Amino acid sequence: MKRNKFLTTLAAISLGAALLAGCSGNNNADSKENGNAAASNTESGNAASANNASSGDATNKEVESNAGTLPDKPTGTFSFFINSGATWDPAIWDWGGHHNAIGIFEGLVHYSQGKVVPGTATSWKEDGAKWKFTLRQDAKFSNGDPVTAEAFVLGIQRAVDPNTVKGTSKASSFLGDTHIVNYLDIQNGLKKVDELGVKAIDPYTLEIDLQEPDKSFLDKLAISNWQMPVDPKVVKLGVSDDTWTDPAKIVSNGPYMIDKLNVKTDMWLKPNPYYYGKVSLEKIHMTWSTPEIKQLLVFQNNESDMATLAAEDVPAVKGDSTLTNELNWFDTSISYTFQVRHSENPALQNEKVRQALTMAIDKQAIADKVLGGTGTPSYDGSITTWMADWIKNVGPQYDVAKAKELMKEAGYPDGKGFPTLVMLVPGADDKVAQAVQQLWQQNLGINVKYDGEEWGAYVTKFDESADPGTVSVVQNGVGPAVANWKETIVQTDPLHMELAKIALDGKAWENYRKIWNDSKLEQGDKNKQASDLFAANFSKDITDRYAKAADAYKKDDEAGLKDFVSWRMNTAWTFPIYTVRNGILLKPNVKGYFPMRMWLSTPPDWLNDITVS
Amino acid sequence: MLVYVIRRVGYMIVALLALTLITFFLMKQAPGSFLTINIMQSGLQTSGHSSYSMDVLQEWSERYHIGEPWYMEYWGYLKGILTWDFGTSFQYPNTPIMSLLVKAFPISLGIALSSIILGLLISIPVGIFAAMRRNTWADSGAMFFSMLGTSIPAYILAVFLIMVFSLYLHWLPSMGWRDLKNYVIPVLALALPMTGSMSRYMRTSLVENLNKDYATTVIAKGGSKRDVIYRHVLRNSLIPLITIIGPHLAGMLMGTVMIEFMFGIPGMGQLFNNAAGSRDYPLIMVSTFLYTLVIMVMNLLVDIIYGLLDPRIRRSGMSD
Repeated sequence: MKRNKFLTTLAAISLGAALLAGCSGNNNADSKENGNAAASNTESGNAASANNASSGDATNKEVESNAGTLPDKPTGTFSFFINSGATWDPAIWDWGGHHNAIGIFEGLVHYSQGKVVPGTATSWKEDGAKWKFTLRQDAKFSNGDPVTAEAFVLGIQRAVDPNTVKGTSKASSFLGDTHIVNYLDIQNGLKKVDELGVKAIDPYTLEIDLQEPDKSFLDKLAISNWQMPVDPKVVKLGVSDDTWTDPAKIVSNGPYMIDKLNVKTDMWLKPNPYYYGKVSLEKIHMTWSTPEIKQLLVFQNNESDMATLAAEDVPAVKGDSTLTNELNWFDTSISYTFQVRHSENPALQNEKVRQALTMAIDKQAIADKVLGGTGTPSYDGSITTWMADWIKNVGPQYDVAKAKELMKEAGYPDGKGFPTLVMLVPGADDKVAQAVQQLWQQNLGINVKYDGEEWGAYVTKFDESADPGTVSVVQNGVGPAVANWKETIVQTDPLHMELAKIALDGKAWENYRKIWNDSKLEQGDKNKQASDLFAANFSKDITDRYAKAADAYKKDDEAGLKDFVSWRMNTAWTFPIYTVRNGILLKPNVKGYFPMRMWLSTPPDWLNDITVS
Repeated sequence: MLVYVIRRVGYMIVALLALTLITFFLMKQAPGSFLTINIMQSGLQTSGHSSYSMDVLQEWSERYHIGEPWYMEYWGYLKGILTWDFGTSFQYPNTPIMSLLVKAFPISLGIALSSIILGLLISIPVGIFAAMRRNTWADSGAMFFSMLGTSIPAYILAVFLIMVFSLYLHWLPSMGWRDLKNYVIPVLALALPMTGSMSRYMRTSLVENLNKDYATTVIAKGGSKRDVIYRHVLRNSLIPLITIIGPHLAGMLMGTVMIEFMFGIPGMGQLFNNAAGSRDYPLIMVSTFLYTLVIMVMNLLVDIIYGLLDPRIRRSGMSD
């Protein structure tokens, strides 16, 4: 099974653009059959989960679980900040889709308190690569129409159908590495959308055929927008129009529906009157977060029940006993890293140099002093310490003496003779990048230049090779697709072997860019030519390692997989610095907020778990 | 007068054409394109999204002449502007640009106009008050505070106002855009700094007029200071104030950008900034054009009103 390395630029931290990926994994991945748990949503996700327990800070506490205690009648208003959406069409890739996934729509399964729980499907059966879902018969859309297997088929077909996104400037909802039979051929226009491996066996039985068995399928479903049903009486195949931004026209099936929407500011939700279970809140107010809005001020003025702290807010909050009591630390899965850029100059091709660079960074000091606790040291871009604690011990450690020695061995004693190292960073004032710059200069004696660029310029330069005569690293944000470390390392498709791509020599990289930027080539041809180029130029050591790891994954050979991770970290092609950790203030009367840790902004994972007394 | 207006309109058209050309070149010079930024931002970089960019590009190429020589592309935008058919933007392809602007512009204009009106309502009485008590502690006190107002930027004042009215008193919302209450702090933050210069203009102009012979005559005939000011001097003293309202309004329309950001107000500032940041060419072109058009028209109107109030200007304008 392939994993989709999900690479997003984390300058997005400041822009609030985050990414979605799978979610807190290892809990349900192995449940072959779920005996009709949860007659109603109110009973589904008990257990306050181990999901948030591992970050080891005195202020870190579990948010009180709420499950099983929803009021008989929707009560209270919950007001919080979230990334803005532009469309709420579940077939379209957009932040609005993430809003859909936490309670405007309800898929087959969803997350609740960090676990995958039944949604509209009450039970399911896995038979190799075939999944059969039994749907509940009392589920209804917000217009009263029944939610049938047909509605799911239409929803998933729309997400795959390339016609849906035509003329929208958007992309289809991301199926990632969930390989439904024929999905790629349909997206590439080679097959018709009704050939997709999704069928309604009867009105309440849905079958999904995958190309190969997938241990993480339920985790991937739970966080996905593409699995949402749409009402066949209202929604058509091949169209996404502006009805998806008009609350009066959006028909959804989750516990909440959109009441009022101000596309650029905020949105109000109200209970879906036809929802089969209890609905906890009378109103939900979602305000779009922007870096300029001071969430702490808004929280203190009681206009919001939730606020995400900026690093500079932390001392003020820690100095205030009331606020300290309202503070929760939520880990995310997104890491801030640097990665080697391609260059004519081979200095960074030397593994010793890269290891020295890694060893010269005091990540703990950066997490504590620069980030004020809004980050924890990161050791591997796709495996966080909360997923696998051992990760911190297997890679190169902070050791200045050793780093200097390695530089000397590489022929650069005290940094002498080393070319200028340029750091490409979005924004002129990235404190973390500046700290890394200082550490490299002080500890290794090399000359490091900070190249802060406006977002558009940064994005444009991201793939370009370093300027002649220099070597360079670029800041990037990375995260896994599912929160299971074993799932995050299996990658055999050359187009997605990020490490091998980074390690490519400068010339081969430029050839790849020529193919990729050729506007006359069809996407399919691009993929093919790029794959061929990679196959011919990838380092054999790297591809062998990947093949071995894939084998270890199939055999569930944990030692083999750990060996691969350790090797990967010691190649030091990337320099993970910290994993984002959100300081989130919640009013004391808010219960049941459990963070969606795969998203950078850690919104609640299921809105209907939240109560406000 | 008519000749004057026609000539001014002629200049405006030339200036607007030059502006669209400059905007077009600057915009094309900025690195990155909407597609690359959009793809990167949404994490689609490596998601293997096939056919996405090709399809969209093809549609856009036809609509916006992308990939053709620059003059064709520029003509595409210019034609839209000339025929007042602005089309749709890259970011919101389902929504006409005009309807985006129709939503955003009144918000910005509303804030700007309310701020100016509030500024005038404060400045005129303060100016009169200071002029009537010229060279007393009351005069110096009023002028000191207006000086203070001028020196504090709107965004600093905004934070201070939020602290007082939202954090301590809990009277007003600190951000967002829901009802009239949301207007209060942004408008105050923009109006108060303006009162500094406006009240000083008012005071100086009054004092100047009070020293003129016609004012002395009124007093000599037994008129009170109050009579002189309200019946005779005030109208004449308003003329300089009107001259500075025009530039103030223009500045204000730009000045709301920062305030809109701070308070999460969905006005022109937000729209424009998003457009520039994501290289949404059609939206950049159209919003820059309309913004400038509004500012130019405002300035023209102020000049015409000025002329109406002062016949000398009217005459010299015509003889120009």
